[in-house]
Amino acid sequence: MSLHGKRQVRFIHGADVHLGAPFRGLRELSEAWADRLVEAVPEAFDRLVDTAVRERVDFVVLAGDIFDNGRPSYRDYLRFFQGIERLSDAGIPTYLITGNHDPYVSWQQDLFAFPEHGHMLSADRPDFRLFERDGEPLVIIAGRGYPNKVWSRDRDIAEGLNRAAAEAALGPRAQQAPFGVGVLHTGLDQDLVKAPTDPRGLLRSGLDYWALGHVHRRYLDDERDPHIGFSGCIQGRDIKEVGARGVHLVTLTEDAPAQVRFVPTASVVWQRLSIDVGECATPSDIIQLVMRELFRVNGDARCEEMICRITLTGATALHETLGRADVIEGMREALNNSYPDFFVDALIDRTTLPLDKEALRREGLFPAVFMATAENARRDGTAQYAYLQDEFMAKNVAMPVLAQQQVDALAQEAEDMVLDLLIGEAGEGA
Amino acid sequence: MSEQRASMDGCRSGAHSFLKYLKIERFGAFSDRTVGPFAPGLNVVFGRNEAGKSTLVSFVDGVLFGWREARGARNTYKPVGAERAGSLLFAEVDRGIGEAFAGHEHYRELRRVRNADGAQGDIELLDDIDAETFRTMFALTSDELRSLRNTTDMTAKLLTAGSGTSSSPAQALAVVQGRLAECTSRAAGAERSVVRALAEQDAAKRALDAAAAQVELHRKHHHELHDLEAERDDLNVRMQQNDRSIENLTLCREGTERLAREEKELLVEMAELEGEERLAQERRAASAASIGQRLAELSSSEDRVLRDRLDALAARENKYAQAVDTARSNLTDSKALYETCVEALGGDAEKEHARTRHKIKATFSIAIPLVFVLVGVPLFMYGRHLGSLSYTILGLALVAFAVMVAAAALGMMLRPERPADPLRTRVDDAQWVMVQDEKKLAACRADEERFGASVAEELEGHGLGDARGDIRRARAILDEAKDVRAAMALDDQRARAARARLQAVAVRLDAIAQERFHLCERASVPETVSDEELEAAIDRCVQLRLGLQEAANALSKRHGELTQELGQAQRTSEFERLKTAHQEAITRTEEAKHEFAKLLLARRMLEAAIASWESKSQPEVYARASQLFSLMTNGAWTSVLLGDDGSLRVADDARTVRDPLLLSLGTTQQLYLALRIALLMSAANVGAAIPILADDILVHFDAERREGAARALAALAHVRQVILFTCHEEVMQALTSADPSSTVIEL
Repeated sequence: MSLHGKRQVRFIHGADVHLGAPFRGLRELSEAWADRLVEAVPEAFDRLVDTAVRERVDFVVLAGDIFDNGRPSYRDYLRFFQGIERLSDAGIPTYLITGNHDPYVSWQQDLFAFPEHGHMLSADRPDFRLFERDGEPLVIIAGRGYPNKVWSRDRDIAEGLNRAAAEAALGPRAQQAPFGVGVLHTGLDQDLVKAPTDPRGLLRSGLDYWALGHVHRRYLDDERDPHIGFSGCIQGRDIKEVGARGVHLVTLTEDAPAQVRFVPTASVVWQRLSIDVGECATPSDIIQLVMRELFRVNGDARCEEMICRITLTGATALHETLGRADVIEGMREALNNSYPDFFVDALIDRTTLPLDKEALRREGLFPAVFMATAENARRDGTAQYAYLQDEFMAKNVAMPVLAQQQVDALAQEAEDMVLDLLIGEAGEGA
Repeated sequence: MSEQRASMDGCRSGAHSFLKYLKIERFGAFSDRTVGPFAPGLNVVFGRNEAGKSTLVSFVDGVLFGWREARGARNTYKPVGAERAGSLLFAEVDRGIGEAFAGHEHYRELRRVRNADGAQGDIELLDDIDAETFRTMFALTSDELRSLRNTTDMTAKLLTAGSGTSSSPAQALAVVQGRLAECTSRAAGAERSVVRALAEQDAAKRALDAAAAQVELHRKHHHELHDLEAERDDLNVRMQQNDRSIENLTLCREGTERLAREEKELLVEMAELEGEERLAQERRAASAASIGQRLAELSSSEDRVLRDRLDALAARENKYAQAVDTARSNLTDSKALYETCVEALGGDAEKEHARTRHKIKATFSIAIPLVFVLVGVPLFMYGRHLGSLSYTILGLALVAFAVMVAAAALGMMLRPERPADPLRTRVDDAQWVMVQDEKKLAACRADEERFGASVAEELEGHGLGDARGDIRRARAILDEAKDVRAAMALDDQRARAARARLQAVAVRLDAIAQERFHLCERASVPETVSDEELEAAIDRCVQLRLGLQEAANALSKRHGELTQELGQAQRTSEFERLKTAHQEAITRTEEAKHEFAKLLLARRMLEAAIASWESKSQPEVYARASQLFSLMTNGAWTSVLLGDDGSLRVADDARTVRDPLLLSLGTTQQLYLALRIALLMSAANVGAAIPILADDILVHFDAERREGAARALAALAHVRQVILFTCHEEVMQALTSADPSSTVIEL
């Protein structure tokens, strides 16, 4: 394809499929949503393949972490290879590298299953391929994968990946190729633990676009003239991976900047919402407010289906009602039943009683004493932490990893809870 | 301390409720009875024994906390045939002003009829008191005063109860403790339990690991299936090859066997045929020889012709034979006639003479010409030789003369004899006839003979020489010859057939050789292979086929197993679900742990706050209790304190510390009364509207101690409503003198 006589090449840059990784941080899915999520990642991959076929791209590049540590089910495993075959049948070659979650050693049992046009670049040294269209050399593909789970700190993973080395390895035909694409699984300068490399080194390599994998959030070094990109993962997998997820559709044109278009592939999007319900008088008011917020947020994400974790905040007289587990659960169920494309995984009550803490302090009764004690305890954070450690050990339970500010947050919640007990409705006991 | 008291008084904005009337509808012995009005301070209810003092205390307890059920030996005060029912009426008082609102429309009422319906009316009056506290602290009896159960807890409860919160810190602490216990509980119902969440997480992990092992297995099997299909194809090819080998070898063996048999037969046949041919040829030759060349080569048309000729000849022969017969018969007749005549004559001698004459004539007729010829011819010849005409003519004349003589002789001879006498003529006629007939006969016979000779010659010419002139025989010979010819033809045919068959046999033998060559070539064995070798080869191949078949079966079975297994594996998403479930378990465990941590922090803070709060008010309580105790014991004992181990101790001025167990009954009662009063005074918020109901508690006190106790109770009455029931006048007097403003009600 050419544009005003200039040659052009289009390809899909995807990465971090993580087939087989579970969805994390969910509390309790309904049956239907559990089934839904099981399909989500393979569906996202199918969408990647569909996009490639529909856009009639020239080739597809997958920058590592195709499979996850957690091993995909047999069905997903087959679906992946079927996807590659579909691309192969449509005449679209796929170039893959291995990542830290699926290093080369883990692939060796499965290499036999690759169809004709699926190319796995090697992991023990830089590898080069030449992409030709109608017999005309067009793109040099340079890349390498992870040989095993850990990459040694003192080696640069991008070493040896440049245009000159590619031409030397591929022969004179490669010199006619106008474009060069690098493929690498690296932390770049964002994750300094996992095979980091200097972006400036990549920019000097003589390749037009670097298709990178590992960082799950999409990134381009320069929106108008991109040379380095992370396509991000194709489907978010926990509450931290919020927002749209997908692949890059890259168009390289001779003597022109590369154009990168984001194509969403995720079928389920994660959201975290914090909603202040101080103004609501009844639980149904809260539900309506939550629904409005959900719709608003969903409009921003480019995806129909959404899993959310909603935290209710604010000071409200409904606090005690909300404190009852069956009320919260009922509200959560009402929300889930109202609109099938949203799922509220957890509805967390962080509302507080409309307490006038100053007045309490002034009264000087037990709550005041209690608040003073709480403040004392807060000042000595390490003692609190040590106390928790001792208690957990005494009960033979592994302590969760908590940062100091998480401990402080817990202490604040504990204080609020005790104040509820003291000041709220008479609890168990009369 | 002072602020506490201030707050105590101030928390109800000056006014608080007190019990004014007991309205008993039905309880115990009472029916439709109103007791009261009570005053906000000290009240003494004086009544004789069995007036119903204890009944009233139980009544108040019943209305507040429910009628007691009959369990064991206890008086439930249930009237016969009626339900217990009654109410308590509370009025408001402002300590500063007096009764705040006069008039029953401002009263607050607590009513109870049936336990199931609960207390009715202004039930908020019950908000700050619970049954245990009431029965321990408010409803006092002598027995009750012997101890104070759960001193520290009760102290804590009461002290922290007076803290301006609607539920006491102790209750809050109890709630927190309860939730903490839930967190570490292993019970099935405990939802928040960290321990259970961990157990669930482990179980999920185990299930997941098992499934993961399955998945690994499936991938291995996927690979195995892939390899297996290649192996199966390979095996099929080998099996086909082997089958072809078996086929070829079998064909070869059967073929060579068959061919060898055939060959043997053919060779035998060939020998036979050759013999046959030879035989046929010999027979034919013999046959031909037997009938002669000509006959042997006679064609059927010639045969027919010959037969016709034979027929013709036979006819002629018949004619000649007939003629001869006729002649003979004639001769016979004539001879007979002659002889008859001769006999008549005696003719033989005549005959003799005739014969002799004949003979002489004949001789002369012959001899003389002969001589002339004999002379004439040479003479002619000499004449011709000499060329002399005379000699030639002479010769010729002689010869002519001879001829003439001969002719004459002949004529003479031929001239008929003169007839003799008629008899003689007759005899001569007869003789002439006889001679004629003889001659005819001779002529016929000669003809016949001639004919016979010519026939014989002809027959000979035709090859029928063996017939020797016999036509019948010739015919027989012809027939024979025909048969022989037929036989010859047959032999010929046989010979030819044999020859043709021999050729065919030869061709077939060639074909056999070719076939054998091809069979052996296809079976890849040398032509010289023996049957045993072929058998052995076939056996080997059959064994191989069995082996391959077994292998193929095993492969097929495995293929089927794997295909089914992988087909099912493809359809399930069990593994992914287990992963999700595992992650959910992890999340829930984390949350349970966070909850646990939060509760721990809460407990820590709460305990610290409680301790802090207690440390402020507790000394106050014990100080007051000490004061009251000292007052009641008249200084015999001066201090009430908490030992290091948290148990109660008493001390006297000389710092002798004793365990309350060692005290006398009276002193013990005083101790616990003092403690209770001190607590009740400090925790004015607890059961603010509820009166202290003392059921004759001063009986064990002597007069002095009674006074002290009365003063203590009066002090209490400043803060709370006290209703003391007694049947002793002196007690009543002690109380009324300790507090002159006290109210006395007589039952």
